[in-house]
Amino acid sequence: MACTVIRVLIVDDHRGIRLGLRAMVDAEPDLEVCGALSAAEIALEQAPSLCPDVVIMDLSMPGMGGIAATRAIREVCPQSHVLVLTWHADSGHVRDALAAGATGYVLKGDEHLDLIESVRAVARGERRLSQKVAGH
Amino acid sequence: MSTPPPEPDSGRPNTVARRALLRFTAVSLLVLVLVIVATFFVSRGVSRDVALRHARTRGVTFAQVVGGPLVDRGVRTGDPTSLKAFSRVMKNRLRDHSMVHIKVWNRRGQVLWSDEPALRGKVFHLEAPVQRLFATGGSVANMSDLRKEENEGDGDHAQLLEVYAATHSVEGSPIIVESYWSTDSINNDARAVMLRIAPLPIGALLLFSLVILPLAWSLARRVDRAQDESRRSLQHALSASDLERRRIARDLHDGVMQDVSGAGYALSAASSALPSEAEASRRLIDEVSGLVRHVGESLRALLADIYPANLARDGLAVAVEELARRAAVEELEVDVQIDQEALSAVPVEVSQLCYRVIREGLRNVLRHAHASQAQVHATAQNGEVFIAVADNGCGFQQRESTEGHLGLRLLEDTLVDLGGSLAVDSGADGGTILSAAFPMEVALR
Repeated sequence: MACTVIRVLIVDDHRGIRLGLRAMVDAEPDLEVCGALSAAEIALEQAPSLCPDVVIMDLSMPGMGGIAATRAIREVCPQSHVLVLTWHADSGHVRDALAAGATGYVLKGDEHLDLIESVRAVARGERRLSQKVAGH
Repeated sequence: MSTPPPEPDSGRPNTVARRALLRFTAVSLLVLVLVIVATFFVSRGVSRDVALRHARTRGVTFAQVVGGPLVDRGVRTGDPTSLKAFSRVMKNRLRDHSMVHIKVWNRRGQVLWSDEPALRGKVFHLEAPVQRLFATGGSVANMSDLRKEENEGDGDHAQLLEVYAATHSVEGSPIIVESYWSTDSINNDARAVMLRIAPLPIGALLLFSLVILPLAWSLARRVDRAQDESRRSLQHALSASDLERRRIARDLHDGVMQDVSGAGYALSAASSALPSEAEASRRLIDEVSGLVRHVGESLRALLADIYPANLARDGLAVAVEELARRAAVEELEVDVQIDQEALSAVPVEVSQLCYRVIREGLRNVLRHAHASQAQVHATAQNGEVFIAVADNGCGFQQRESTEGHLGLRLLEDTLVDLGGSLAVDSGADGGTILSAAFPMEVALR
């Protein structure tokens, strides 16, 4: 199971995003949502037991932000890859996220298929950047 | 984004108060000079009249009391002994230099005696008013005309007072004693009169200025304060509006935008879940999903307009590139040339002002220019920032004037307050160029 299905943990403080994302990811046969959490702190607690292959991480969240959470997740679950999913398209956020250990960086305005493909690529450990930020 | 309003007394170079006072002082000085000049000429005129009157009195007195009673037959006929005696008395009189020359005339216009021996015995044409004195008596006084033939030898004196006084010789023959008086007295008298007259108008004028000056200053300051107050009110209104826009942006970002994205993802999931035979439904859902994503993008563009990119963190170039991307959505291709080297070390306030100018410029292009291409250029040189936003649109003539454009007008006010400028001109090849310049240091106030 672990070899064929990619386990995805969603971390986003917006319920609408969690709902939609869970439905979209779950609709893919090779992807499985193992959790959809509303705060980075909860994700840090549960990540070791959930053992996700990919963590889809929002950046702007109350409390611990996405950047700090990425760094912490990479420490507690080194096997989990972080795919940042945000509206921030500026190079500063991209730079900080990659420096914190994120493997991919996609935008919420990107094509949905690109997002799904990015989840798969990041799970393989490949770096994926949204085309809208790739120039930076 | 908003630039803090300059302090009311922060030394703006051209305050209303300062301009008004300078104008007032200049006009006062001009009036003072005019009054002094006028006083001088009036004093001189008065002194001249007084001097002429004195000279006439003295000339008549001299003619009747001294000159006339000494002219006897001998003098009239040119007897050397008589002339010698007469000359002694006359020259004695000339010694104090108040009287410069003396001539004695007979009815024929002959000089019976003159202190200039060369003139004695010569005959000249006497002017009618003088000639009339032989019949009527009395006197004629005027400033002497040095061009007259009879005044040869008077070149040492620029002007003299000339008095013709009618009298009689010892034998009763009508004669005229002509005396010339120095004008030195005129100048002395003029000075004295001026010293007596001038203090009145000049003093009154100075006193008036002293009374008016504080009033003018106070009025001008009041105008200055009113302008500052109005500027501050405007800035407060803009700040309040800015805060409100940020609040709306935050609410939109935290609520609507995320829900819209989530709905888009859910639609994608629904599309995937449809059986393969429901092709038409899947296409419809995919289209709706695309629409929803577009709504999200549009909202993001709107929010980016309200929440400018993080200038402090990413720099001006990144922020302007973002503006260019958004313009591209509206089919305006923007070429961005930011002189990173010159602008990299500027304070964030300067970056914010640059961003505001460029954003307003591009907004103007999008709204009014009907352009397909635009160029943004920003650089800094010798402590001054230069920004230009050019387009290939319909040109300035056909567009609204800057006067009528609130955004540009407010921006212009801000730049002028900071010692800068904003201009909108037609480009050489059509289109419009918005150019702004402002000092880097002043922008920090």
